[in-house]
Amino acid sequence: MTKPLLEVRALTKHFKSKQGFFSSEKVVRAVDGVNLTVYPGETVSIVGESGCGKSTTGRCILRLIEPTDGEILFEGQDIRKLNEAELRRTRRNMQLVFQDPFASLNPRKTISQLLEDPLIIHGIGTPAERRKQVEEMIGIVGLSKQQLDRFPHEFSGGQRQRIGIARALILRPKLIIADEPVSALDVSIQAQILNLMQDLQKEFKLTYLFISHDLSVVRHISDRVAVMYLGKVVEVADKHSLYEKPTHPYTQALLSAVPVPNPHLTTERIILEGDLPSPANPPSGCTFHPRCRHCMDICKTVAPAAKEVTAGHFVSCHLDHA
Amino acid sequence: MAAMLTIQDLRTSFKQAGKKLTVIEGVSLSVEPGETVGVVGESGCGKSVTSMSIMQLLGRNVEMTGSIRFQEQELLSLSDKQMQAIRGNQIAMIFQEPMTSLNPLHPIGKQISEPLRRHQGLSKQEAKEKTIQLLGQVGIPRAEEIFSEYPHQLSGGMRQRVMIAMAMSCSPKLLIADEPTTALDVTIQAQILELMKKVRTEQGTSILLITHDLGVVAEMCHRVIVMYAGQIVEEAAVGKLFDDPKHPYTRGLLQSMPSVNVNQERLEAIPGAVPLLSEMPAGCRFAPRCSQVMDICREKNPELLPVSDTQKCRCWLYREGEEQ
Repeated sequence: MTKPLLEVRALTKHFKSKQGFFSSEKVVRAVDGVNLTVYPGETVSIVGESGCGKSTTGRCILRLIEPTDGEILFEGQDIRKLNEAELRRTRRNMQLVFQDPFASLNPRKTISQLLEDPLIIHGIGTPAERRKQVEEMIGIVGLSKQQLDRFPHEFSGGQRQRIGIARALILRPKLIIADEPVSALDVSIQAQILNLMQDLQKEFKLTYLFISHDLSVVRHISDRVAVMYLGKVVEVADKHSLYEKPTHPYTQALLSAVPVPNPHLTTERIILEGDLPSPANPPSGCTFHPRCRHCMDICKTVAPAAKEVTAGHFVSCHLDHA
Repeated sequence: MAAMLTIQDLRTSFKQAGKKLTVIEGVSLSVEPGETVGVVGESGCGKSVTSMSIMQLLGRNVEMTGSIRFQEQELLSLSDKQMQAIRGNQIAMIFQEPMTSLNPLHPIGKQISEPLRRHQGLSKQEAKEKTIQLLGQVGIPRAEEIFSEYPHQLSGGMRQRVMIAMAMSCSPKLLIADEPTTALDVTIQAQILELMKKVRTEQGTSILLITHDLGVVAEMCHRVIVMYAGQIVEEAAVGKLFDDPKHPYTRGLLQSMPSVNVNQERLEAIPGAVPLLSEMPAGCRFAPRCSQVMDICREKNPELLPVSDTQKCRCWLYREGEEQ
């Protein structure tokens, strides 16, 4: 059995918020005990609605946000125990692609500066060698050398996302965490970027942790999928198992809510009542119970543990799924 | 029966630094009573400017030619005052981002009762009763308390419900919904689409639905208009469009979408990007990205012409032998 590239155990991030001078401190449980394993070469997606903690999970893994508790093992090494210099060295192997290519590229730097920066920070090569790497990388993501001296605002959204990917890729990382990389793009451009990411994965043997709210995109790109709800992973499975046999009532509702581009198809839709509860005041027991159509007495008091329903398919739910 | 909305050869241009930029180039469409027509396309194709043109919300440095007829009335020749009497009353609009389209400084109740008092002349008390009733109809719990709360106290889905309540307050005949669910999560989107269907059935409202999501189109619309770079490139009944798309752009859009139901190895992406307004190609505007491009496509822009009873398409592929 291959060793996992990334293993996240009981990852927790609690934000403290204080609303008034006299009010007591509130704890927002953004990420609440997430377990996740990513093997080399695979694409694992975290999917969920806004506020479920998927982005916070991604950022905690890179320690861009300091986790409150838990273990993050990257190639067997606990990232939380590293000092700053060691962390920087490790980050060479784990890079992030952001959602908004407008906000994540410094508008005052040219593309060649933006791509060279990571190499300088990690002390790689001479200026001439670095220039060569930058020129090579811009070609790999489908832009031309002539565009290197331009500024980010001269590019379209899709091109900017190519630059964001080039910047993440130039250090030749093992793991790329992509946080909603195609959500800001139109569908025809989105397809270009998804194809590019798949090509790069093959060429550079990359491992992706893909964070998205879009269930169709996730089905397309992933090998395995984790569904998050209110800071917890409620279901993990390989994509075929998850999309063909969604087991958690939340996953079922989520999948049935996606409008299907086929006017002849009338699917039975599970409409969830109400909104996502606040992570500052999550419901007792199973956090999904107030919106669940199968809610039982036990759900209101006891938080369900993850159980394996079929090989590799884990669900946190009290229902009998046998 | 007369059409609810008829747009003929609409051209909308913006004056900028002495130059005229034409954003909408000869758009003609109609919406029948009780019908839902979808307008789809990617960002920058002119969907939103079309809807803002109908509502005349584009400000002063804009020039509109052509005709926009609402029932029997020509909207383009109305004065600002006359337009105000129609806007929010007979034609209402739902915007994409309810946080930016609701006034953060006024309580919810005041904002919904404003059109009621203005257009229907209700007293403050009557308007309040009607507002609370409307909030209940769009599925907002604790309507009486929400009446005096502010937009920031509500979630995105709740704010969009407020927008719908406001739009439906004067029972408009035509509702223009500009990306009404784009900012929402899928489970909330499902709630809002259900609500729009309910409102449509109860009141027989005609809807012009602007969206980039073909899934939403398939679910909501009777007829679909596909726009590209400021022009209509295809128009068809919803079933026809998904079964037998004619224009290469429509086909490209459908093929580049990942599906939630089927596993695909690879997506068929459309190469390139939408051309800039200042760099419009001389011939067909889609020609530089089209996989079936011919010589004539680069020289002359084709007309939007019928290819069957329920389908029109702007493409030389279906005009062979006629180009001269």
